[in-house]
Amino acid sequence: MEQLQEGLTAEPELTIPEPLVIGRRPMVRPALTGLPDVDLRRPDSELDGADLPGLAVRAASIRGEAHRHLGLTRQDAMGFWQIDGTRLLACVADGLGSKALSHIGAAEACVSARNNIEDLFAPGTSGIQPEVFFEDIADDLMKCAGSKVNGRPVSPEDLSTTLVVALIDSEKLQATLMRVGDSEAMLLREETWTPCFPKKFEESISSSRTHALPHDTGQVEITVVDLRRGDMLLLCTDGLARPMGSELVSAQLGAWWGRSLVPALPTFLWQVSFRAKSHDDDRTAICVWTV
Amino acid sequence: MSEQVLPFYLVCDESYSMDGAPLQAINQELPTIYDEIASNPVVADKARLGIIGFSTGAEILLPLADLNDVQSIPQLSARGMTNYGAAFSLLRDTIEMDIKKLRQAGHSPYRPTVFFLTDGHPTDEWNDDYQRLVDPGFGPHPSILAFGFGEAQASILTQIATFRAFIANGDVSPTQALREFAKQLLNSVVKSAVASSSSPAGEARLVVPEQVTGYTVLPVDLV
Repeated sequence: MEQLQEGLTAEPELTIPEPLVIGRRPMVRPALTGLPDVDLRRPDSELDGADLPGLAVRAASIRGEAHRHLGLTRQDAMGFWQIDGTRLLACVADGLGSKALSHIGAAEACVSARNNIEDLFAPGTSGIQPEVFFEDIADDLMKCAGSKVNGRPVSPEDLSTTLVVALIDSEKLQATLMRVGDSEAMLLREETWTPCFPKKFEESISSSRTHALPHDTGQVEITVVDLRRGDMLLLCTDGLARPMGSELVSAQLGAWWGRSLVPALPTFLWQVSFRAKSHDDDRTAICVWTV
Repeated sequence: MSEQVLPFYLVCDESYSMDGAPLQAINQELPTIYDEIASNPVVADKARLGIIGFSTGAEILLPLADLNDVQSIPQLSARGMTNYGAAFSLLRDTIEMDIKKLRQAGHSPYRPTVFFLTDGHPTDEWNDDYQRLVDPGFGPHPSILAFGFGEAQASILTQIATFRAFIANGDVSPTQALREFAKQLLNSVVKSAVASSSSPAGEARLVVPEQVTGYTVLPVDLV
């Protein structure tokens, strides 16, 4: 009891600091509003993590400041699962903002990736068949649309979402990455970031027309990344990838997460919550360290 | 620090025919537009607005700026002819320079939106300058909304607009028509910035009115 009372003493230095502002301070104030008025709304944030043999995982999906300000639901989704003793499946999805129910599509895409993992492996070989796997996920999204949402019919387009999937083998030290759309995967090695997928041609103005499921199953990109102990593989939505285009942000995250510095979960949530003017999208990051 | 930027340009006719009530109405509304955009945090973080005036020549009255950095709003004043070519030429060069500067600063600019306001006939050959502006080979070629009133001609407005054109239909006075224009400019900036902000794909979305009080919507061939 005595200890508890001591603990209750409000020490100013024990206050959790506000998220770090990188660059100019945004005008948007980090405030919550009422609950989003939408079917199957997603929680404001998700935080997850695991320390597995050979791998440490920290994951956060955070509603963007604009969605908070406007009272809209988070449209990003994520999930990770152990396939067996050495392999981890991690997924990050970004529901298209122009589609009212894309948060359902993003969540469904992650769950579907988990449910269809067996189809990723080509029968009788050691190879994989990502096209079949993504077709399965697209089929599940179509079924989800067909099954209606709260009794109302939904078009498959309303569930449109990007999806990036990583299959990480902690024994072989290899990651197989697959995606449809513009969610990203990046390798952090000794505080230096390297994109895993080839960079798109940079046009003079920004645009984010992106491929999305369930329709663009013909647009699956696949890459394999060899890992070293101490590397970190990041899967993220463009709500994080875009501010990381700034050296200030990528250097800060590199300093936090490089050199095998695996943060505690509350620290990780605080780190992903950094603020940067105009970068008010939902933000999702799954970080997997090879330890 | 890299920021996402939605550029908007108001390109306003300052020819003699705009003298009096029309320009007074615009001059009265401009500070309100700036105040309201600057006070909407979701919008103010992304939207930047520049103003170009044109008559015999064209000039940048307010460079493309973060609305919180703007200290004073310029006043439009009537003078000269109605030289569309000068406006399009300056707009093309200004957009090119602004986008270059934004990118050099590490920012991510989206396609600019232009609100083109005129009350008369062009007094020059403007098509070559216009084509330079909307040339698909010009990466940041803008989306153009054209608003006309007074002597403005529907056939010319539809040639200029790439997105939507409106012509005042006489239901309201020129002053009211211009106030309505200002209101729509404000709404479009706010709604476009909010729509883009609510897009996790980071997609910039131009949200413009389908109908405007006192104006008739003209069909436009989308570029």
